[in-house]
Amino acid sequence: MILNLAGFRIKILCSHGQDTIRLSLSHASLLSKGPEDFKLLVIYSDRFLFRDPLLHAIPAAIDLPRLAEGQSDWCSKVDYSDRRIRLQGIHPESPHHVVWEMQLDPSEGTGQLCLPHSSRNQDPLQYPVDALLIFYLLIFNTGIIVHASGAGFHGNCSIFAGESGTGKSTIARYCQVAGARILHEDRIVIRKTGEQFTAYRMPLFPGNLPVFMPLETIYFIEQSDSIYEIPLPPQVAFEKLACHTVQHPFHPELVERQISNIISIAQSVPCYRLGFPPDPEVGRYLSRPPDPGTGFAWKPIALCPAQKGIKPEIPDYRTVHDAIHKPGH
Amino acid sequence: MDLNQVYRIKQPVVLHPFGDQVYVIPVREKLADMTSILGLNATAARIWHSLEIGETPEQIINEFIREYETPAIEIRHEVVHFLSEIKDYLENDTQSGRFPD
Repeated sequence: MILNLAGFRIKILCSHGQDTIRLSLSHASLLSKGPEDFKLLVIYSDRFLFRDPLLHAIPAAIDLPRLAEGQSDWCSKVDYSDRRIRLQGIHPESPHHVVWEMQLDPSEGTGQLCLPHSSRNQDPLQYPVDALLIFYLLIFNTGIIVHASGAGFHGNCSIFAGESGTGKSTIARYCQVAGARILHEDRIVIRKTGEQFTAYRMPLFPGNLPVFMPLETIYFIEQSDSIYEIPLPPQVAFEKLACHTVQHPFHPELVERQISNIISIAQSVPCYRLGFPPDPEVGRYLSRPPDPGTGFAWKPIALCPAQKGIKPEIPDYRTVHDAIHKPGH
Repeated sequence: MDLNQVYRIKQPVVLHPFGDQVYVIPVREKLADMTSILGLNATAARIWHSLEIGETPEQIINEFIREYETPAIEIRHEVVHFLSEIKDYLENDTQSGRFPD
């Protein structure tokens, strides 16, 4: 069987002579077809896959989706050598806290997942195995997971990154009211596909069907009395994007790879600060149709006066309200 | 602070150049902390490198004084100011841990 995990087609194989895989409802909705990007061999065995103990213990406070919601009373162990990632942990949502071990070889496109016989009737890819699999494949495929919401107008996606409470879900819903399709309200996968970057829905919850759109813009949102946009130079965009990137790398080479991925995105995708009040007008503002010449939505640069990070030489202060209602000005 | 002491970078970091900056990504509890990235310009990156190879602040200041026409007092002030900004990353080579005020 093949699962579509944030655009990665994962072929799930069962070791010789063993049962077929049981999937949860959320993973069953991700069944896919076509050539696979990665082969994962599931082995049911009561013997551990790794002979040597793994070197690093990752604290429970790592920023993977859902851990912030109180399901973080676990700890995974990790190691990286010979371009192979080795992980060991438990399924925190399993009643028996099943121990799993996984070895990934992203350059070969193969991996092994080992679980005890007693877990044969459970989904082997249940969280956090699925999230870790996506995370490490992204590191080796010019991608990241961002703490952001995303919404698409006219087939292109904008994502809205921000701290909890700044309005990620709110702005996504304002966009939905203005006709956008919501990609996700909390986690977005960004991945290079060909010459462009594509935003994918992070498959976290039942019913999260695979959805993806070309990534047009990254907004770093902030609460404000008026709508404004401030274009960010790539270095500032990199610093901001790094802050909102889901982090798990424990090895200097993996950190380097993730930093390179963030830089690549910051250099390629237009990034803005976006201020907005609690008003659905921001959805209408973002919904303007694409420019026939560029294919992207035309957005007047609307700047706010001196705030942190704004270089004084940026010209043309005006509010978006002016830009919308007084197009000649 | 004693400018003739050797100060070492006590915290594991990953350095990554981008544009005209070198970014310092601290590694805390074995995980990269990308919410605390430090951007160094060329001069700051050179000071960082000099500390890594064991030069004292006094040696670094004297190198800059020889190379630049900026008044020595200004160079000294700038270097000391930068070192105080990165003091959380530094430890005294001969004492245990703490960066002296």
